Amino acid sequence: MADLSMQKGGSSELAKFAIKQAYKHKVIILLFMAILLSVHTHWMVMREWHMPTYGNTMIHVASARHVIEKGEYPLIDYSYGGGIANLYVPGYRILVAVLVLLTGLSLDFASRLIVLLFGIMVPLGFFILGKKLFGENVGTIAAFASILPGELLIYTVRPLPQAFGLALLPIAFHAFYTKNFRVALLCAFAITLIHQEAIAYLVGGLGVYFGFIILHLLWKVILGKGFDSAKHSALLKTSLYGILFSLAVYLLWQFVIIGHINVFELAQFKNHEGNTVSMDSYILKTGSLIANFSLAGLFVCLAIFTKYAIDDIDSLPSEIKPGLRSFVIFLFASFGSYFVLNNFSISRNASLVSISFPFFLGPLAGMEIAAISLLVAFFGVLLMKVLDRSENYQKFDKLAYLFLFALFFAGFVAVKNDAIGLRVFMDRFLVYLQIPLIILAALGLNSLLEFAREFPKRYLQSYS
Amino acid sequence: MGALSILTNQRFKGVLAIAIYLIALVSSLGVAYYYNEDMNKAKWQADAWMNPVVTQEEEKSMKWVRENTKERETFVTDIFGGEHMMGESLREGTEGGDWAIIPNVVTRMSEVNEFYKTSDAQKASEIAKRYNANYAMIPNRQIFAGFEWLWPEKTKLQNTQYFELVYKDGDFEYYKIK
Repeated sequence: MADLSMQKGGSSELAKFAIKQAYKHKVIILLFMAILLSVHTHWMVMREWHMPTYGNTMIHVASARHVIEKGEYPLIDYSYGGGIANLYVPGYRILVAVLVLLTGLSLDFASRLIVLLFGIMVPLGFFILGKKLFGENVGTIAAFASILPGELLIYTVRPLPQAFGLALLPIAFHAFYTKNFRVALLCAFAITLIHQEAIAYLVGGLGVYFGFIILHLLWKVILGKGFDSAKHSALLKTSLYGILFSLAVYLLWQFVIIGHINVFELAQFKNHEGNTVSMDSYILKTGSLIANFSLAGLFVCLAIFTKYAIDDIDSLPSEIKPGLRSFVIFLFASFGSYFVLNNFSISRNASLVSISFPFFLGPLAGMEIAAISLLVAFFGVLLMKVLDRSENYQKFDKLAYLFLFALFFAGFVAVKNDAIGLRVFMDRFLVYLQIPLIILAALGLNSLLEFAREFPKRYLQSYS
Repeated sequence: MGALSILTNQRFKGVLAIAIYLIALVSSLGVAYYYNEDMNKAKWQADAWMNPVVTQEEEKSMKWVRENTKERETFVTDIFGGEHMMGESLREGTEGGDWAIIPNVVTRMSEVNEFYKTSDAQKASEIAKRYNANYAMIPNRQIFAGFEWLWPEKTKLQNTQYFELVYKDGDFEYYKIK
């Protein structure tokens, strides 16, 4: 009996110890779970007797095989009867060839194994980017959120250079954001030689960030406000060097292969490759959770910018600043809510066919949407009041919001440029837009959780 | 004053705090439910891209291709057949690969589609020769040359003036273009 009670006491101590350790290492455990989920979704690549062939996967195998069998990279493409310069950047193909040469695995198995590696890298990349921008909670949510977009899975579950580029992009953005110059340039170099579209998005995102910083500085100059010139100069330099270095590496490759550097002569530009993205396909390929919560994240970003901008204007009487900000936030929230409830549309009666709103409410009439939007708008104002006082949110660098918004803006323009008649990339860049959307969704969800944590605490304190 | 006193009432504040925690809990369950839904939808979307399309007979034939044809030999193939062939044997297909870099690719797709569709042996032979193909792959599956999925029309291949059967494994065949 004594032994049994000791044993019970021992196991209870052990359980307490295990719980304590699990709580202590909760982030690592959650991240591990996210990685397991990601590997689970990517495991389908192992299912068939042969690796997937959709998406031109075998053209990369051809170049890798050429490297293995001939000991050189093929400068002439195997596509469509051959005879055309092999313009596709060689990084991924050489990686597969090296893996086969080192391990003796078949090209088929090595290609599938690399997909599982991407499955591990994707949540890890989003974790480190989300954590750096908005802390551990957002990083952890982003790691889980990265599993949800169908389009991201479609492009990372097949042995494609694009999958490698997508897995590296969050890591590259992290390096550029933290101004880790060496790692940033190394990532830019690797992505440039792995996938053209991925580097186009990296360059586009950094370009927009660069532009936003310039606008921010102009704003400061116009208002006669000072700014940290050393910090902003370092930000501008890192972005600019990243852009120039990536362009130089790619153009050098293009010049060596086809003898000119005019990218607008490429068929992708000439043929206006890509299809328009409808709202239905956007939601289907992004997932309803990411689509909804990313709007919440976008709202938080815009509300932060609004506060920042209004606070900067000295000519405004300080008494009206909080009210003005609340009014603008109210407008953002009511419009965003109307947009979501109206089936992600601003057209009248779009909600009659409800495909996107995640709760079955039936078709909503205009008055119902208006009423709910009003409530959501009030909640939005309250949310920002709470977040303003949150110690966690006060720690976040305002540049994190700007950086994330820049990535969103670059992706949005790449996807919806048909609206301005450009019609390039479009659906081909939806998967890149999903990178900021995942972080935005994590920020949105974390903001709501922060509200649930902080509001009762603040409310009870402020009125007692 | 009345409304304010309710708001500052300790019991009301307690109830409100509990209500917020309950809403957060129920919402978390909702998020978990939709997380599972979205993940399954993502897997369902990706699943459609997992099909290897090519057949095991096609894979098996690569040994014959390597042993009996020269490197970068051109075969009449559909997109999947051509890409599989280049990856497995370093031969080339009339179709398959990075279409965006190929001049007049739509015409090429249309004509290769016609090769598989037509019953006219001479016409098929002319198309093959136009694209420097010395062999034609006739797979034991539907082909896709850019426009439609279709079963290869085989009667034309019986015309020995234009075609010679050089490899057969069940319904999977290679013909030499004469």
